[in-house]
Amino acid sequence: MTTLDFISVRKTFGSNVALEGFDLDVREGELISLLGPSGCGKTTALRIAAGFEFADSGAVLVAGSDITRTPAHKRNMGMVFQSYSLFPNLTVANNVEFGLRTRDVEKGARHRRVAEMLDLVQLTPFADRYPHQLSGGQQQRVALARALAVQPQVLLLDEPLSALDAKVRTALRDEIRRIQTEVGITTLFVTHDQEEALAISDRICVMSSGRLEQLGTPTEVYRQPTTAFVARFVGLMNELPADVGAAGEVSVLGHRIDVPSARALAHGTSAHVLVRPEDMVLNGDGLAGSVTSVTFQGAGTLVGVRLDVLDRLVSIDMARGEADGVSVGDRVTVGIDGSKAVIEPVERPAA
Amino acid sequence: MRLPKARALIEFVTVLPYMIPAIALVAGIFVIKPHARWFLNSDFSLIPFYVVLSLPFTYRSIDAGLRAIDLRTLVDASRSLGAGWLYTLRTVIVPNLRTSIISASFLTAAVVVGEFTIADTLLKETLPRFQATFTAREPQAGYLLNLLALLTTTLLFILLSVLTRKRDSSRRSFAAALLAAEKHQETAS
Ligand SMILES: Nc1ncnc2c1ncn2[C@@H]1O[C@H](COP(=O)(O)OP(=O)(O)OP(=O)(O)O)[C@@H](O)[C@H]1O
Ligand SMILES: [Mg+2]
Repeated sequence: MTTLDFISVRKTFGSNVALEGFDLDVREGELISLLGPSGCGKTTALRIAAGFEFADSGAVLVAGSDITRTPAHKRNMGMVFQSYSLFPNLTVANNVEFGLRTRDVEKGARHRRVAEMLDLVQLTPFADRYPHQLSGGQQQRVALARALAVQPQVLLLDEPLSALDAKVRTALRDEIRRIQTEVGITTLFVTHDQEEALAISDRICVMSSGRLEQLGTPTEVYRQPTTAFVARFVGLMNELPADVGAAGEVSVLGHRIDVPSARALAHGTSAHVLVRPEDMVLNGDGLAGSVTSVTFQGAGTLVGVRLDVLDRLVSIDMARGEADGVSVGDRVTVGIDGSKAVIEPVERPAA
Repeated sequence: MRLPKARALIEFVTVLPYMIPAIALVAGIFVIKPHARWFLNSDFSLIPFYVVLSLPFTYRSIDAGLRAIDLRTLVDASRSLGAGWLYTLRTVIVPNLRTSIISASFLTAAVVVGEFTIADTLLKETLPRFQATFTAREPQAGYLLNLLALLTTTLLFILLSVLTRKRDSSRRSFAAALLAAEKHQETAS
């Protein structure tokens, strides 16, 4: 069983708190993405798992044993870095072989393993090239092969795709997922791209300022965000002012909708209600406005509407075909399905 | 690499020997002479001065080499692959800074070969000093010797640029250091 656990990890750099009370359990063979805005501590968490940094307090366990103080080279972690990290003086094959040499694997076994790894990332014909003769995507695939060659307990990836262009990024993202499932390795994947996280993760760990905000499957994080931060960070959200009434009824700009999550809030509370574009309907019973943009997005169409009552733009996601005939300038009404909306009380300065 | 403030300071310190003329350095030698006679009379007394003089070249060429590769990531990668510090130094750091290290040594050699002032003051028989006394005694043969010395240095530089050509990264820095070295040669002769 190879699991990876962070137990209440705290890490500071001078007066700057990078991680605070960070708990996370990565299960055997699972891919968890660390997702969060820049500076929220994703890289720090990964570097603590790799042994490049040490926690100020708390513990890190791999397969149940404490490695909090184990130096990097005595751990058994495979790491892929954000920037290109292949050894420029070694060929592709020798790069992949590097970790096998430090482990004193005998020559025959080494060569077999290198061949196997290059085959896995489909770079066998490139074995004798040097890193500078490869494209960025190829370099990252070699880095992946190099990390996996030593059969690490855990695979750690720090934004491995961020230096690549969009098309290569999606292709390589799917390839990483394929290889990860094939090898069945426990993986921690850092990204600040929510789309990437939603696409490849078993679970997503959303972080903000050094803390875990929510841990859940992509669907959970997207459909049932537990905090307003998660709701805003993952996917698009329309944000509207609201007043909480009785029994989960919420009045949004005079229009009444049912928001189950508002039941916990006291009558009369001022709040923001956060609604996904796909939970809004055009020409339903609701708020009046006029269409300001129609953006074709392949699978669906995003319609921007400026509300009359509140000078604010909302986006509505419409399935293919539904938006036919809608054009900029049309007068419309916008209906809101509040069943999955997130409600956030407005903090008022204490009177 | 990690300390931007320290970098600025080091850069300043390393160019000091060129802001302060060698003769000032020599004046300094005379001040300390009564206290360190045993050292200044030894054959090794030139070493610290040459270390100071060649610092700008060695520092710059190695610093540029460091900038061209992301050494920190390479070291991290090596360590996460199970390599200890020594192994990392031997298989990752040195090979990737090879060009920088070679050019640093050549430049140092060139500086030392062309240095006159300090050697003269310390009464050490180095090549430039020999050139000077020899030219005074036998002008024609002396000029020939100077020419030969110049040719040798030029050859050294050509050899150096051939040796370092494989990797583009440190070439720019090398060119800069070369210019500085040539300027130094001019002022020395
Ligand atoms: N070596 C360091 N020295 C000082 N502060 C650091 C160091 N490394 C990280 N920090 C600080 O710790 C915090 C978390 O940094 P970290 O690199 O983990 O963020 P991140 O989530 O990976 O961000 P990004 O998406 O930009 O990579 C930041 O405020 C950062 O400035
Ligand atoms: Mg980071």
